[in-house]
Amino acid sequence: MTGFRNGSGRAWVLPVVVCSDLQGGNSLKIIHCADLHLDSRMETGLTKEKAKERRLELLRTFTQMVERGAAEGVDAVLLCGDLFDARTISARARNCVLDAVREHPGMRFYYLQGNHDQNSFLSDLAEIPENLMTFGTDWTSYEEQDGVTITGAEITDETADALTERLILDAEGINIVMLHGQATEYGAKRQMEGFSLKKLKNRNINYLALGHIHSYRKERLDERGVWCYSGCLEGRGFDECGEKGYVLIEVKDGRLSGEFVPFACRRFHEVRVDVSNLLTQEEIQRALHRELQEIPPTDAVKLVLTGETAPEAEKDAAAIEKWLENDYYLLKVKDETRLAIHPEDYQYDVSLKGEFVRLVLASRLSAADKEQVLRLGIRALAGEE
Amino acid sequence: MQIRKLHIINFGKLHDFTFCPSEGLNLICERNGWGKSTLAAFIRAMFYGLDYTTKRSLKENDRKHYTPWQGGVFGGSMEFAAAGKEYRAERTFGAKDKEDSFALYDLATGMESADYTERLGEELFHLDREAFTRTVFFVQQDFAVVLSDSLTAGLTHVEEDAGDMGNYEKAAASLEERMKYFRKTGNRGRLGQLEEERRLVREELASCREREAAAGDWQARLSQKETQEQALLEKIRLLEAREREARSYGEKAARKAQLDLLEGQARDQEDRLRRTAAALGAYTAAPMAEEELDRCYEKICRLRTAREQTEEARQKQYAAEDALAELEEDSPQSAGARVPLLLGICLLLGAGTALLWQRMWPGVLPVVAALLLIFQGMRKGRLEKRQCEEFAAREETARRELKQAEKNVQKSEQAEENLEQQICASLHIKGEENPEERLAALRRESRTYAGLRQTYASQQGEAAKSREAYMAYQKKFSEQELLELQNLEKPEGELADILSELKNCRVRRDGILREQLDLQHQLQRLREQAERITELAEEEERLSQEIAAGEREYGLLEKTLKYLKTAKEQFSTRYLKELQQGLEYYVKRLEPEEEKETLLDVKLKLKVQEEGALREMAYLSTGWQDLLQIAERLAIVDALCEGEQPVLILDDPFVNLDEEKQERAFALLQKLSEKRQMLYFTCRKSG
Repeated sequence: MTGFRNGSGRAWVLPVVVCSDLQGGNSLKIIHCADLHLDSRMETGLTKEKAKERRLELLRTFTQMVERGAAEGVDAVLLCGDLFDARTISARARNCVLDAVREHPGMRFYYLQGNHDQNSFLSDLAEIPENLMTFGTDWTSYEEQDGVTITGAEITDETADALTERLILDAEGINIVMLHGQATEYGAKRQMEGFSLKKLKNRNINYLALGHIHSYRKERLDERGVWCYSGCLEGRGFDECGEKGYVLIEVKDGRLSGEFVPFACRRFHEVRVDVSNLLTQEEIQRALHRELQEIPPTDAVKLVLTGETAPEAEKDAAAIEKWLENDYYLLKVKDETRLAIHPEDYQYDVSLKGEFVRLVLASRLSAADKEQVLRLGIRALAGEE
Repeated sequence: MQIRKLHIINFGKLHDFTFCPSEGLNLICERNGWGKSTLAAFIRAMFYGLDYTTKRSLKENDRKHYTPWQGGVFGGSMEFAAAGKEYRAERTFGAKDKEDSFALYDLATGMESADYTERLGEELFHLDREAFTRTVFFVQQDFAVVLSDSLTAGLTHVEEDAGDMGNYEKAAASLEERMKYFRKTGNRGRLGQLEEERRLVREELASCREREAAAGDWQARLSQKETQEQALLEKIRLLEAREREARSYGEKAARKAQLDLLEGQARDQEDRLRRTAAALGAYTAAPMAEEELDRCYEKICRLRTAREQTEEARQKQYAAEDALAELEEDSPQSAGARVPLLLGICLLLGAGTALLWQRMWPGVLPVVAALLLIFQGMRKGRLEKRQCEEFAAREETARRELKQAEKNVQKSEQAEENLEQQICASLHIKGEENPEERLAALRRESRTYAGLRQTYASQQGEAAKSREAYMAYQKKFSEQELLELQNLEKPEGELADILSELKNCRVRRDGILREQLDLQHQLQRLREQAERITELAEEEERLSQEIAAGEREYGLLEKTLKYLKTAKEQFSTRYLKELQQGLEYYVKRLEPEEEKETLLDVKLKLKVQEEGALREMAYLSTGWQDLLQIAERLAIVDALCEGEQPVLILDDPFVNLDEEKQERAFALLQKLSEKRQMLYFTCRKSG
């Protein structure tokens, strides 16, 4: 297939759509973003103050994205669902979005509601700004310049299948379709907000702008177009690790190209460190330092300790957290190490420890509980806190 | 189990050293620094290998401690007898445990044996390294420092560590302490505190969620009020409009009248103009112009003149004809002259004939008469001739005149005909029609037409003026105003009624606005509280996670304590009875004269019955403490070693005993050495 660049790349180009209207020489720039979850609760174990700060950062990143778009001549912003997180929207979040829309009258904001948006934003507006375009549960299309049409619909479980079947697009134009939901190859009826990619194939879609999945992902839809999740704009927890940002689409001379633009002010990292055979805290710290040295201090880090450790190893997750807490915006340590205890080592250990170890190993406790109980017991017998 | 031979290639300070212990008690009496502890460590290393640790302390890091001073192969071999067979175990040690090697040979066959592995000590004695160290392997770590306390310290160590029993209390206390951190009686402790915090947060969260739900209701009420207010506002606007209408009706009506008037005038003018235009339109062609008519009239005049002239010419012709006729009538008759002449001739001829013939002279008279007559006739003929000539001249003149007159007539007639033709052509009449009448008619028509044209022009101007006036007036108003003026109707109702209703509506609206304001304030408060849902949910989640983690840790601590307790009980019950019996046996053997009742508690704490009460060891003399602890240790060795009886390694243990007790102790060792091999290290020959 010509015209496609490798799907794993950040920048890509689609084949030209041949139509005289599309050869105007102008370029149309569009930002595709989704899942901002403004006002969202933070489930990363942030302190109350940092959670509040993080919520403000989410708003600030949105504003900065719009401002950067305006500076770069972006014509439209596609908000592909879950702009807000809950029914109650704070005045700050509402005003932030409204100000961004009103202060950029030259940009069109296409706001498709997701499963988290509960119409609160729109219903509270006395007057919807002219440059804020909305969608309903059936297809709504807006003509952009240079033969580009933006079509979208807010899908529900009931409408998903019928909706995709009703989609009719002009083959001679460039069609951008907005949806919010879980894209599946063949559709999954039981899945909330799911829709079938198969049913959207060969419907003249050039770019299927999606929201719902919080990580950037782009794949081919058919010979003509691609589907793309922009991911969320900012990670909110360690389940949203990696680069976050938006997709910048450009339509020029009938050719649609795009690029993922990392834009989050902070990243969440999960770093797995094997601490097997490391006995002292110093050794463990050196190993952690090696793994963490390239992560900037503004980011959030979840350290996952792995491997098998001896019962006497000086491994203390709380101490590691304390040691690194000022080095990063947020640092969490999860101990997934396994206790290197082998029953045969204690077979002839004539001691309370031996008796204890044999007893615990023979118990019906879960493997994880066994490890913890052994660790606690052995360390207690060794006189360690 | 018996050690037959020890050979050290390199181990600590010992190099190429061979020692062949005999069965039973082996007394090794050497000076300080000879390497007794190194030899003891080598024996343990042969059984258990060397631990790998990164600890820097030499006391805690045997591998580092005993690395050969002079370099070379680190290790050696040990020949021993166990279970009726003899073996040689060879071990070498590297920098790390992975570099270590172990080999076991059956001395009977010389072949490598798999009877035991590198876990030789464990497999032989069923004791691990720690237990071995705590029981049968008693190495004096630092003779120089605590020589006198070494035994006590060692035995205490063994006693406490012989099942970590001493640490049990501390461990259990530590675990209980940590559990108490989480839970104390009365639901105190961290978990209680967190649960209370979570309860409060949940209450607040529930309250906020109720407020969020309430905000929805209030929003609906507010929307209802807004609808009512909008309806009232609409009504007020209508009433205000009606008020304005009522107030401005007169003015508007005057404007409308003026507008209507101007429009009527403009329309009338246009109608008149249209009528005039229609009248003008009735003319298929424009009537002859006055000038043309004048020219026609002139032609008619000229025709008339021509006709008069023709008539005159004709009259002249007639006159000429008459004159000619008259002339002709008056033309001299030749007969008149000729008649007398003829008569005279005739008479002359007759009278002359008669005279000549008859000579009748009388007849002369007729001749005279005839002559007279001829004379007369001749005179008359001359006269006549003259008259004729005159007549002919006159006739010629008359004829010329007649001809001229005829010409003139003809010319006039020609001119007349031309004129007639021109007039007919101009007036579009036929010859028989009266041109003057036609001209008069045409003139009337022309004048009427001209009048109409003039009227049209005049009316056109007037109509334009009227239209302009109308338009100028109309321009003073907007389309809306014009529409209003067009549809101006006398407002319904009286102004007073309108004002009254307006006041009523305003009062009602003010009331609704106040209610709206209250609702908005309420809604604002509810929303502000509802906005805390996110924060509270986070807090609730955080607390729940902390509680869950705390509960898990509490549960784990609880389980740990439970298993530790169970382990302690099992361990105690398994060894305590045997230990107690062994202890009593060895105490009796060491001090047969003094019957000291001893008791080993579950914590392996040795207590002695003194003065009717069980007392701590600390109440006894150091010698007695050492003695009892040796007895206890020997009992522990007996109790713990289930497999091969291990070599008992003692490092100057009787230093605190009096001579009598030393002898008994030594005798005991000799007795014990009958069934086990012992290595007794001392630097005192007296010991």
